Amino acid sequence: MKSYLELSANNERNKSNKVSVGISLVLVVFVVLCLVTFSTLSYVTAKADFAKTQQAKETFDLYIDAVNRVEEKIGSLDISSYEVDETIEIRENINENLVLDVVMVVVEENGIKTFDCLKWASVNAEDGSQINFNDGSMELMTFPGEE
Amino acid sequence: MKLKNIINDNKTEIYTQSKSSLVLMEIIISVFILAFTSAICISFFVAGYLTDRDNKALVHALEEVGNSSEIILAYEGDMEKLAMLTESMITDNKLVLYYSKEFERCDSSEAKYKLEIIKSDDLVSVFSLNYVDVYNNSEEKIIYSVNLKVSDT
Repeated sequence: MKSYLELSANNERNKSNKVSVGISLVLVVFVVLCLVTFSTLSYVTAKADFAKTQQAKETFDLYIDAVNRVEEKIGSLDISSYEVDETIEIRENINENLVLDVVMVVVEENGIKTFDCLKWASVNAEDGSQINFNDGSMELMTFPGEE
Repeated sequence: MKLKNIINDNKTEIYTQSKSSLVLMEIIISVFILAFTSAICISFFVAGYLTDRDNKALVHALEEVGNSSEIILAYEGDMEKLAMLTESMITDNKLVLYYSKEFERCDSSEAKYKLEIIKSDDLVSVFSLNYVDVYNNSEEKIIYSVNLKVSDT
């Protein structure tokens, strides 16, 4: 007759001999799912951000093109044909929604006529309202001599 | 009684051996699956990281080129004032601003990126603003570039 201690020792031995099948596969499936999810998310997010930046780049390119056209127009103006305090407005399309609106006034200093810029702004093409890119959260640089 | 015990022990051994080989096969298959998916996923992570890095560089390039363009326009193409404002030196109508990996102003020796502002005097002044990746000096890569015209009047 075997004692209780001997029986329990045998049971323990049998338990330790048992090999569990499937745990590693379950773990691998879990790890693989995590890897696939996070790698896809990181790639998709990065791609989406890049697409947004490309859009911003295209808009900025269009803005610079509009600025160049305005500067060419200003350069071709014959300032002597304008009276002092006369205002000139130049509007150039940036894209279908935005217009670069430039308003200048002719001023005379020491007998020399020059243009003084009154307005240089991107405005809404439909209603002419000014586009304010800064909601107040961004600290803008002030030029020396400006308040 | 003894014979029965021996048979039982043998049965357990055979059962354990067959289970062990099954586990070994399972581990081998698991490692293969893990290696295969890891290779694909790591390439995705790397592609995402590289895209993000390029994106950050482009965002910074747009910011810096935009700021410099506005300063040039506000000062009607006066390079001296631009140099004074950006605390940099002009050499041969060219002004260079250096940026570190973290997009902060730094010396040329530590630079990862640089912004070149080149003035060419024509009928109207044309400013070329080139934001360049200079990490590897042997092959400079232009990230963003614009030409800005400024009239004298």
